[in-house]
Amino acid sequence: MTKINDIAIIDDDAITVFGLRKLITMYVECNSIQSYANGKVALDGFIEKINQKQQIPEILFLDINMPIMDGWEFLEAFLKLNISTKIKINIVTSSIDPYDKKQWEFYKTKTHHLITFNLKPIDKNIITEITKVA
Amino acid sequence: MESSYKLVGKFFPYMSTPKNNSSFSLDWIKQIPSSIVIIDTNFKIISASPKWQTNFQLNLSQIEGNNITSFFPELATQLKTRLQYSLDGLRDIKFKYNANDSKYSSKDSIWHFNPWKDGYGNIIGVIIKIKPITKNQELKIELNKTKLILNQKCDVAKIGSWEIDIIKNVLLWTPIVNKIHGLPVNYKPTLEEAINFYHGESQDVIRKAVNDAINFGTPWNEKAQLKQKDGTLITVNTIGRPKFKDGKCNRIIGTIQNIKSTAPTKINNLKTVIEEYPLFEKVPFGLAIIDLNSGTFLNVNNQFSKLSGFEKEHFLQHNVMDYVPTNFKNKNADLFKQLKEKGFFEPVKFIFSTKQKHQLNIKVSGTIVKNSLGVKSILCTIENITTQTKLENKLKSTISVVRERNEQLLNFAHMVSHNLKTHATNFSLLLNFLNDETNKIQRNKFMKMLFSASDNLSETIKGLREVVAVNTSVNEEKKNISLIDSVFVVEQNVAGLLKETNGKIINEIPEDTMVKALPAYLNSILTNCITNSIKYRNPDKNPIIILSIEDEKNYTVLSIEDNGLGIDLEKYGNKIFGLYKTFHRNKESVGIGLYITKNQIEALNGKISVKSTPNQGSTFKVYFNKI
Repeated sequence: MTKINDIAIIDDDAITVFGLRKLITMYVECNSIQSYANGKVALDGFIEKINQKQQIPEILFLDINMPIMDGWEFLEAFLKLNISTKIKINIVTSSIDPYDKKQWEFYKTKTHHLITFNLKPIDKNIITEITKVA
Repeated sequence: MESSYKLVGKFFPYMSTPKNNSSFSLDWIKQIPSSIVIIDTNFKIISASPKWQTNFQLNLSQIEGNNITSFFPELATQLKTRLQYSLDGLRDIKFKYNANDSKYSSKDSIWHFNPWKDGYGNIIGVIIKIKPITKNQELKIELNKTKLILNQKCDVAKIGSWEIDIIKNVLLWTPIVNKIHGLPVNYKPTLEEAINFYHGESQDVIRKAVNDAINFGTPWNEKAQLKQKDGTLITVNTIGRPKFKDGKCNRIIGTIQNIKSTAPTKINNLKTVIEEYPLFEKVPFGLAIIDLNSGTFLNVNNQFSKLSGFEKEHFLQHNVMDYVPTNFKNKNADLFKQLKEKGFFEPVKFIFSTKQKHQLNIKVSGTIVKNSLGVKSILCTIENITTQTKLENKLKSTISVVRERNEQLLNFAHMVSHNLKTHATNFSLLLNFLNDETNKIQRNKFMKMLFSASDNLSETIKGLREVVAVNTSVNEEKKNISLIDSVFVVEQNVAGLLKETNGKIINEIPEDTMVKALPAYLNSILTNCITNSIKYRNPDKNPIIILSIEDEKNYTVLSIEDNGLGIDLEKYGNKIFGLYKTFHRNKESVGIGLYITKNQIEALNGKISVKSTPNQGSTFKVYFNKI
């Protein structure tokens, strides 16, 4: 198991955040798990980190349907940030809208970061698979 | 006495007494070699030469005294007319006899009709002489050329006969003459009136002809211009023959025929076109013929003139470009290019303004045609597609409504699936944790979360039910509701919230404002908009909401203006009324509210729009349909 520094969960659903946190603590070794209630909060947080020359979490769990700033809007803004390291962005959704899958395929090719698309529920096997550093 | 009588009868038949037809000897006829039949004034057969009997395989003894037309029933009308003319004194009327028309003879022939007169010049019958057609073609040509008014193809209906009784000064017309003059059949003119129908110089010509006939016995055969009762000028051929009694002209008989061959040249051209395109006037759409080089209208059909509301003359000899809309003119070059390359152009559509200023959608297609002289012109079809276009537009708008509904439905399905699935996965996640956990405190924590998940699910289902309700109660009757009363009810409901936030509602709605709505929807729309304004207030200001009314043509527009946070419409504009966000969340999020509001106002055939500047406030406009 590779040692991971920081993981961030961006989701507005408290239970999902709790569940992911618990799964990660059980099966993944990492320094910290941060969580953000929507894309806007997360984006502001990351910009703050960049300004203070702190490290951006290496692995993100990103929900799509969120108030204020949804997952795609967050991604659009995030990919424009000047981040040289390769971040692994795991989209986690219960959406069955084909539009979302298309969006993923579109953003996947636009960046040096690694983006995966995962349908809920996330279980033990998936969590170990998608928390390998990109 | 008897022998001398016979002798006279044999050699001088015309000298015998006319009063005694029955005893009148016609023995001479048995000796002549030609084919002749003699008819009395009642068209009864008096005698026939042996040749005639052979010709028609009829035996005189069996047919004597019978009406000649009864043997040629197919020709009865034509024969009668000619016999009548002949009895009127016209000489040498020719008639082409087609053997196919009769069972009595197998040979075509020409029948010559001549009046049969007694010694005093009285007409007592008709002599018909039958001549075989030897040089068929020559005769036909001769027949066509003949100046005689009755030719082979003569249309009986167009020839009228008349008679002037000089002594009594009475003019008699057959009904056809009345028709030629455009007069009712019972109209009886005087001679002077009849002459006055002739136009210009023709009048003098006819007047002189009549005078000459009376005074000098000169017959006439003239082409003359005649003005019909309604003013139409026609050309007629009139023939007059003076008749004498005791050396004095006592009557004139004659015919009149409407002839078209000498009509003016312009009509001739038109006729050529119509003859070249025999269906020109018969097709159910507009047709126009346009000169390829100059672009002028050479001819248009009645249908086109009907469609446009203009007379044909409005177009003829004018350039086609004078009639097309200005924005269409630049397509001109392309059309000519198509004509040059393909010989036709693809149908084009444009709006045409009729004489009555109706805007018609018309479709025009054109193809190059060559007339018999090799001159090229464009044959255009012009169709009125206004109804079609209207239907098309209606269909398009229906399709767009259906598409929108479909989108809504899909949106709804995704939303349902997403929201329910979220809860389902949360349940399974929490139950798994609970199953694996032995620590009592931890287990309690999971239980608490399970309850919260269950509450969320109930909330979601409640929201879904609201959305479904909008779409199912659409059929309910709309009522006329006082808007201000409804606003008061909502103000009561949000009073607590207003007090809490130090908010204020400024109500500028006139008291008599009525809107057509379902009461429940109106309440829900107002509640949603007003609570939204309070929810998204600017934390630094006390919320102020201004309600006012604007009147538009089809809508009563309620305007809800606030001084709140505002929305970045550039970013969220397309989503604000959408169902993109989950709705079971905290009070401060854009939830299902505006989505339901939009559905409700649309169910009332209205619409909703928003204008907003971040940090300054938003204005929602709710359009209530007046119908």
